[in-house]
Amino acid sequence: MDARRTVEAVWRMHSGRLVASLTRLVNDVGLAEDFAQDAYLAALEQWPRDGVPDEPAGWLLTTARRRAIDMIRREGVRDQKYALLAVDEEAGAATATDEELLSLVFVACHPVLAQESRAALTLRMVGGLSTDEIGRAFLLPSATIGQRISRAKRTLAEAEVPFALPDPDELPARLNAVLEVVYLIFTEGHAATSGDDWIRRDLAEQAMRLGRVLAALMPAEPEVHGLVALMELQASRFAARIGPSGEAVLLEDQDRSRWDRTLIAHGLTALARARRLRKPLGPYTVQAAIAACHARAPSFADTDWAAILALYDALSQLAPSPIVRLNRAVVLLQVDGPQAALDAVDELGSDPRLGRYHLYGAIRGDLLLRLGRRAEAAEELERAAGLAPTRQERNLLMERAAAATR
Amino acid sequence: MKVMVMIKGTGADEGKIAPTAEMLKTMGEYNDKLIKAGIMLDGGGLRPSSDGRQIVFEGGTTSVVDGPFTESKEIIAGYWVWQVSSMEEAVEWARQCPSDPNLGVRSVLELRPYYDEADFADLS
Repeated sequence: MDARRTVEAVWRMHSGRLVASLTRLVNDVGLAEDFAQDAYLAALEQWPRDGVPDEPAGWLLTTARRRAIDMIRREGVRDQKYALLAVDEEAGAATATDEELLSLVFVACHPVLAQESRAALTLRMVGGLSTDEIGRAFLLPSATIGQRISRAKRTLAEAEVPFALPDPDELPARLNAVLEVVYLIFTEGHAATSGDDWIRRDLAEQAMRLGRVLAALMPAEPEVHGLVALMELQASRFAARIGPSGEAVLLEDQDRSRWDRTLIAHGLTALARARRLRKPLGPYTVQAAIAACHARAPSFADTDWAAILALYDALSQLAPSPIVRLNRAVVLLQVDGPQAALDAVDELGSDPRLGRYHLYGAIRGDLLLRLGRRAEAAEELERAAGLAPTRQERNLLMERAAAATR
Repeated sequence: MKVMVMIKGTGADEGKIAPTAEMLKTMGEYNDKLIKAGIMLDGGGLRPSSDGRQIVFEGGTTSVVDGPFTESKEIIAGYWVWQVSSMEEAVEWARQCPSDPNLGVRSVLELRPYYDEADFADLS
């Protein structure tokens, strides 16, 4: 096997707990991550030459600790930052506990950080992704990501953010911030918001994985399970939603035999866990319940649209947004027909947030077409094409506009 | 990527590897580690092949063979489905799987990645 790829794999498996262990030693996540990176570089140099050690995770931790302790001893005399650190030979010697790993996640998603930095820092410190990999995934130069990460580390140090779990009274808001970061990573991989590639599946897989880690570490939080369910049920349709030439395939036209049954099964189990906790359902769980209706339906026509409509009503209460209302209108098409749906869509038309959203026009155009108002439909679809963020979507909308008047 | 991990043993050894409380405990700890790493999608243990059936298709005829499959060199005793970032990662997790050297049997973990949509890009 390729030793270099083994080093990378071992790194991704253990970097989160490694950084968490080292933070116990140096009391600063940024510094801890630097030492962890040192050990990673040492592994990249030595393992291909000397072979992979029997306990690769232990090797990384020992190497990183040794470097940290050397540095503290050497610099402690000159630099106050290190002088403050007491060298405790025992600290950080053991693999991080679940609580420490979880603390790392909460620190990486801390509200003192800019939203965009939280995702980068989480992927880097918890997921073990390199700056290059994060840059590629977010379609940004790796230098930009590197700056974000070092700025974020500085911010955490200056704000003296403690390496600990949030206090109970803060927990709901802090957990929500974490889940937001995970879902942001997922949606970035799920639906490219810029550029032309549809799926950056690695990113979506990273997010699902992070979600499952959180679910294992915080089993009593229903929204964590709800988010896992939502991501997995959406991801189960990845293969089916892209056609042979890279075009989007709508839910209605998807070949359901290509949905990933393993992800559906795991996602439905996660949803059942969220519900079994018997706490009020949060927005992720409700969205997962909607996705579950689709996952269970044998066909588009045999979908329980009334149940989905009721869930959208619940979602509009929990997390009111114009997008949710727009999606609700689409469901109304299945329950009450195109005129009812168009009325609902037109009610939303005055919302400026939807004015620049291409799917608003795409949906309205489709409804007009169903009502036989072809010229208006073509005009609406053309306008939507002008707002589409990717070339595929633009082309698809232009084709539909042309077909409307044909 | 999704990988199936199959736990394989020799048919003749099946009687020797009935799960003990100790083995279930260490396996439980290993499963817990996989769950906390976020890679576990599915998994399960299979009853001995004496409870199994084989459906054999050969030369246009279909026959049903009852277990046990003592002649078989490779009996699947259980499986996992993992979502990992590379085969190398799957190998590293698999190496950590507990095994009892005192049982005196040979067991194998076979790792097989699932087909990806990209594999079918040329066919559709």
